[in-house]
Amino acid sequence: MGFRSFLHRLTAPRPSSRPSSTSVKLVCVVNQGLKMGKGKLAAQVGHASVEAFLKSGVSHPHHVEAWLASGQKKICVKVPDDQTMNAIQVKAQQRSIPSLIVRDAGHTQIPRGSQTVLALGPYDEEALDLLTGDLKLL
Amino acid sequence: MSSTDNAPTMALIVREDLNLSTGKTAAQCAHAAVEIALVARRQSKRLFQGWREHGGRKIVLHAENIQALDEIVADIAHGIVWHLVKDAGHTEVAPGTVTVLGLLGPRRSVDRLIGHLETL
Repeated sequence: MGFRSFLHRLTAPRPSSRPSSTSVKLVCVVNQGLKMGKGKLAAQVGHASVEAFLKSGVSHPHHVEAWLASGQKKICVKVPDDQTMNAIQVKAQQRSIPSLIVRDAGHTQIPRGSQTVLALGPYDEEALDLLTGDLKLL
Repeated sequence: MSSTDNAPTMALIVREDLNLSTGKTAAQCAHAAVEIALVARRQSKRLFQGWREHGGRKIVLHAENIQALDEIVADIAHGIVWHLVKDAGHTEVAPGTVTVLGLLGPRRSVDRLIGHLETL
């Protein structure tokens, strides 16, 4: 996409995807079952955040703008396994909340294709809290 | 030498003297990664695209304290996009504390800056 068309997408009216609240955040749901080291995990969450922000910049530009303008609020929570992670993503998809799962290239520590992080958002905080509010912080 | 040997790499350097929790460390690194991606996309499109095409390679390391980060910043060469994350101070550290230094550049230039550091 050219810069101009990207700008156009950012500025074009899209009433259905405006943030409904003042607070927008990104939630990174980490797969605790993989027992990743601290650095590995930080890299995976970094990867998830960059992908989520670039992807949502196209699908939910107003949420991303609001998120960037308000200091990129983000939290990390944990789930025990793939199944729990997948179940949350299904719920997110049903509610049209942007989501993506990072699958590791498998260079270090864990097998190729492992689901390391589920990124949800940037999106309205209340909607995300309904999905992840009961998960423990990392 | 293949082009992947010098493919753009992002290095995220965490201050170890702050003893950040795993979740806080991850969030601060993510902040650096997003910020650098934003700046690189604007200022250095080729670097940004090269980095994306090679899988968005990232490496996380640690450095002793703020002086160690400052020394790296002083050595940063032209062509490297970098960012110091200053925390808002909602949790764990005081507002304005520098937590992570992020760098994005050709692998060899980045390796020269971080060669003395250990991975986290």
